[in-house]
Amino acid sequence: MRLSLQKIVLSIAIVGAAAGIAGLGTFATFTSSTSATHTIASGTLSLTAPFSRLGTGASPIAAGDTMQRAIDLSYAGSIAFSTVTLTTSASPSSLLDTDATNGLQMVIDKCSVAWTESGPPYTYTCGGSTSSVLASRALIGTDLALTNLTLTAGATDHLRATITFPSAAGNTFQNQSSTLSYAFTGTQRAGQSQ
Amino acid sequence: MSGKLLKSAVVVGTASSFAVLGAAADLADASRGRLQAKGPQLLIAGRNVQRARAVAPGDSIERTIVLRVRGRGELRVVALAVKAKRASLLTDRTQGLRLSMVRCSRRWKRRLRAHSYTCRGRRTRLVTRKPVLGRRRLGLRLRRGEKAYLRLTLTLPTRAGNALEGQTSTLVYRFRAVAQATR
Repeated sequence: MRLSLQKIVLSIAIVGAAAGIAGLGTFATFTSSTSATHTIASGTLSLTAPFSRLGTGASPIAAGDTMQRAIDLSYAGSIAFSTVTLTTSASPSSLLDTDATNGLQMVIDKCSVAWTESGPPYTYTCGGSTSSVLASRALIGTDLALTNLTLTAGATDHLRATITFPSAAGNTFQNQSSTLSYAFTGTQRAGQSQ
Repeated sequence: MSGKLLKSAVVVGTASSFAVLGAAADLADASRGRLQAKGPQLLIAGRNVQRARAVAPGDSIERTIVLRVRGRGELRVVALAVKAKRASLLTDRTQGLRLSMVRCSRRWKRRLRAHSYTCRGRRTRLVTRKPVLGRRRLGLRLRRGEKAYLRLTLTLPTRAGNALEGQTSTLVYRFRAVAQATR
């Protein structure tokens, strides 16, 4: 009789413990998840030149000559511009662009309205107000900072580049030829919290 | 084995069963006349996180999310999985968005005139500038009635190139939690 009781009690203990373990196991597998969606769209910025005379060459030129060329810069896109820079290069190159003192010099001005063109040879007059975009300097340069630009999407800046062949240029500058490239680069505004 | 020892074993065994069954009873849906296991649920406030437009390299997108528990019990939020419902170069591992996540012990306070938030409580970093897509381990414990105030920050690296212009991605943030055993 005593042995039977022990057996029964032992069975209950095992069942109880097993139920407990089973319950714990089941409980531990309960999971829950939740989610949210989020759309992110990057912006755009676009700098174009809808009008440009910069590709028009000049030949032959003599010391003391000036050449004027107009270019319009237009801004578009959903991201604001912070700066526009100009990089000029020459290929093929010659004394005309490698001599920073007596070689070609450049100055860029802006007109508040479109420049009035005459020529060729091209010359320009401004019917509005003018401002300086790049002070006189040697033609070749990298990442030259341009000032007084609008930089607003939908706007256009009317620029005029005046290239001067200094009258101090000597005979070594005769019969030289350079092909110039102008690259305007717009840079986005600084990063910000959205 | 003596009778006394067996008796002790019986008491421990049944007590353990009751504790677990008791917890299970809390989860039962008695109104339906059947025993349906139902653990505590993880809820998120606001299923649609405010969209970000015209994002540029260097930008940070800060958004807050509040997690809470419905039902009895405690949850451990074990993971955050971020998937792209709509993928684009913005989710590129190298140049694309980076994700950070911080928990604040109090509700995040939005700065005036800025889409950014400050924490006036205790901060806990959960994820630090990782590529946005993927699964991240978390270790958040949430008791009944407790809320987890989270701030997600997505950053588009300054080195992101022009190829990332005009791209759109829709992300799904999925938090996964497991129920904690009742003590």
